[in-house]
Amino acid sequence: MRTPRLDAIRPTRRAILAAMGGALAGTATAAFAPRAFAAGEIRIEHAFGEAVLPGPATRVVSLGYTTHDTLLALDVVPLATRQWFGDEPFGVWPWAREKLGDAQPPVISGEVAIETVASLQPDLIVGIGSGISEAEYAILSQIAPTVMHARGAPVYGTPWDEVTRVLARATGKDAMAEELIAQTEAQFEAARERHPDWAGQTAVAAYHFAGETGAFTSNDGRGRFLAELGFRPSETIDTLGADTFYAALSPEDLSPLDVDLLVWISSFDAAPDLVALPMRRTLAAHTQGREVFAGEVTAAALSFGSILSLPYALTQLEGDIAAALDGDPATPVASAVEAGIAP
Amino acid sequence: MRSGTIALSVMLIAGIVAALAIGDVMVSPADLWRGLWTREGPGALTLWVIRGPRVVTAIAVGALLGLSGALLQSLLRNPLASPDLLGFNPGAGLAIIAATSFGIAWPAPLLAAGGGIAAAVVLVALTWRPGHSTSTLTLILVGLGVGFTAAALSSFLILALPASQALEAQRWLSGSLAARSWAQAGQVWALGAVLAVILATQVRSLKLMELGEDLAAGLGLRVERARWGLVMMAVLLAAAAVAAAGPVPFIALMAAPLGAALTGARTPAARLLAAAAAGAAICVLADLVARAAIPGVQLPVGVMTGILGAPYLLWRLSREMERGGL
Amino acid sequence: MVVATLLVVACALTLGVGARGVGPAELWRILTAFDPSDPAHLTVASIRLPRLVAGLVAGAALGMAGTVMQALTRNPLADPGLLGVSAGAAFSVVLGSLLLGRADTGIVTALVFPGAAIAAGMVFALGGGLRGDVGAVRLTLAGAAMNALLISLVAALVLLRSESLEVYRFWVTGSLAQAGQRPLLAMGLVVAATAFLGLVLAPVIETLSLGAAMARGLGTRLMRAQAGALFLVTVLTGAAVAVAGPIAFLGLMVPPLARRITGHNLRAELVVAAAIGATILLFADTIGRLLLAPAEVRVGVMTALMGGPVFIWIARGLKGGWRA
Repeated sequence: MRTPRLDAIRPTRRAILAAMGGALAGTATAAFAPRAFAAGEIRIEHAFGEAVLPGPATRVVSLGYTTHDTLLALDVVPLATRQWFGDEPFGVWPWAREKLGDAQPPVISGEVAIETVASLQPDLIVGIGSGISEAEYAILSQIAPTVMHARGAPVYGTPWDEVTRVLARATGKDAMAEELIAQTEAQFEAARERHPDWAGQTAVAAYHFAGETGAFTSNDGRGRFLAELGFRPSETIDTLGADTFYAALSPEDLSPLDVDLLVWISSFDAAPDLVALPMRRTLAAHTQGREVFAGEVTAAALSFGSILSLPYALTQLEGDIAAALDGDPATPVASAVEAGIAP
Repeated sequence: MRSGTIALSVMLIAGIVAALAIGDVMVSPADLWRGLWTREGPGALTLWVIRGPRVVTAIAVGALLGLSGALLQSLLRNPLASPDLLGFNPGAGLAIIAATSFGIAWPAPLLAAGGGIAAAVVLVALTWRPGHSTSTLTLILVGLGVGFTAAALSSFLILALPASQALEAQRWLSGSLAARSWAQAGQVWALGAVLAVILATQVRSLKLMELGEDLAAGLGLRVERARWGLVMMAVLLAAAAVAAAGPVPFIALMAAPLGAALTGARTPAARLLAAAAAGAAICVLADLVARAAIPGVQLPVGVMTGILGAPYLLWRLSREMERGGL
Repeated sequence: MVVATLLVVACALTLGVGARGVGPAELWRILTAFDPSDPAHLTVASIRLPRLVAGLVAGAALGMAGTVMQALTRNPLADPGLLGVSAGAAFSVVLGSLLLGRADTGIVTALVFPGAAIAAGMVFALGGGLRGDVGAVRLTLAGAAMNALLISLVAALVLLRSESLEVYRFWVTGSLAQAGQRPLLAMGLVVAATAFLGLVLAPVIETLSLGAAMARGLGTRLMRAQAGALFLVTVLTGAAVAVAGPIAFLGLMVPPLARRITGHNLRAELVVAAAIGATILLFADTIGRLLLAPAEVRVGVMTALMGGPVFIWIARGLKGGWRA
């Protein structure tokens, strides 16, 4: 009965399901800047105050919807993870499973069960991208130092490299983090070099879920992924979603989706809804075969937008994007054909 | 002391102990005991940080709602009167949601009181007919309508809020005691204490009013003024509870009859006390069930009182029907 | 006549108003020379037309259900939404989809009918209906309690499976926005057939509104008439919920207006109630689309905003003739 569905991949008014996005990297970097600290002590300022750790943390509870990815990348196995969507065991997806090893951390679903967190006796609680309230933070921070998103940054908007740097500082793995970040950036750079024609073309990551169609802005991790490949975001989408990380569109007017590359964040289960979406058929991106379908795991990898999931997404999507943008409408895009949305 | 009074006291105390001792995670009684006195170890964290403030807030919220319901039921001489059915609680909730929408940062108790009073004024204005006394049942029905309207306006306003605030507002509107702090607990207790003292000075009026309006007037009571004072009290008591926990439904309706049935209290003061104790017990136990009944899932307390309270209302209705009261 | 005109206006607004304005001339061209490659034509044909049909089906069904319910209970505050019948239908769908899988397969959607039937029967019995003597306050409060219970249960179920709340929002507050994915044809046929049955049964149900004693005196078999009326309410409400989710207050607002036009003649009243119900629902939906554009206000919120004051107005007028 619990079939894996990617409903949660699209943003909802319920922020619990909201996505990790990319904040404007500059502001976030400044806010996370370290202050002078006592020997061995680690201080991290954030939106709700400051977390003070006596030393690098080893027992970490991950309450962010995606932060367990980052911790696993740093070889820190979290004591507990947070359920975002899907039925992956321990909330850990394929791209991070190897790093999890034999560990079986409990998965916290719904509202944060504070008692469960306390019973694990953590020395660090990660609340970046968790949507917890200040009242909940007030209690959690009495259990262990709790790190939230940066001051002024959106709740779900911390970029992958920033999350990696902050969690590396808290766990004393700064050098390892810099190396990992450099590796990931190199992968993107290599992709850009392989496809110089992508630079400057417009691209949008779109969703259709529970009757609503829309697209992610360039502040979101999914929009940011496309930017890292050299694409230009759609100004219309960014204006419509200026206050948040997505723009909901009227089902009667999907023309903002008519860009050079249209990536659907969806699931194969929900592909028929996409096929039935009437106005999609009027888009040139559709009729000229410039749609790519990110289903199930690939969509989740884009939505997680973590240092582990992004390289995975890149591997999955590179061929399809190239096929979509080769200038020939007749070239089949494998994922779109599989989903049945190809023209 | 009558056996019923003992039963109610035991129920309240046992409820509080259970709520402190039971939860998502079982902490051994020995650890809890040590934590209680030494303020160290896992027991201390559970008692002093996580469960303590929540339970203490729940006691005050339940007692305030119980008092409010008891006052209204006594004034209107109808066991179906309560601040939620009469629309005061939805009104208080609407005021807080509206303030969030329009960026008004007044303290929650003030907003809730304003909203509750506004709902009461609307209710009276709508049912007031010069020269006619309004039947209690009309009052309840119109109050229900005021509540419907306030709830509809709240859900409309929530639609216009940004996503993260809408989630908070939605959660708050269902009535929740999650993540309370000692500061919040202190606030609702302080407010409750002030209101209780004021209420104590009005008990005599309530007693006289129950003798019948003519007799009360004959004994020197200014009936209209006393009635307004008491209605205002009921609204403020409910508003203080709503400000602390959101519009938790049905506690005010259930508390007074439960308290009276258990204790057999007859004097107004004794019945108010019993209602407060019963309301506190219901609220504490409902919150306990809501957070601990299903492993790994925490429900808001309001969802649980909705599930518990609606059958009570149905049962009450059939009782009233048999007695010919309706 | 007025009703017919307003209904036509409502239909035209539903087809013409939206993110893409479509004028009357354009509408005419869509009817006469449809061009599937023109975005405006496509919008009207595949987005607004289903929406219009959903509004017509759900509005007519709820208007008639409210009329039958008020006749059955002799209570001007009776409404399938307020008395928990819609919530019962929605609850059984949510429960069914949690147990069986997706929320919109045919089998799961068909659960609206047993859900509505159980809720309708329970509220009627608890409200005192079995004694042939339904009091307005008692029934209304019993309905409010039933509604509160079912909504709390839906909320608890949804929280149990936190990941796809958005899918279930449809089953908490109704909307016409997903009309394209709803079983419009099937439910339209169900409503049409039930409406026909309603017209046949109307004279019998009408005697119920005279009171139990009088009805018996006229030779009505009380139980049978009540069962027939409850059946109508159940099927009409269930079909409306399957198409548009639970929508409260529509069944409350329609009958008084219909009675004004037809007087006390249930058969005529049903016909007019269907038209008025569809008209109000389509107007409410159009306003909801314009109010916070480009975002939409769900039509269930709009009817609640309109219906609260109407409820108060009717409740205030209750006296004398209506037994408390």
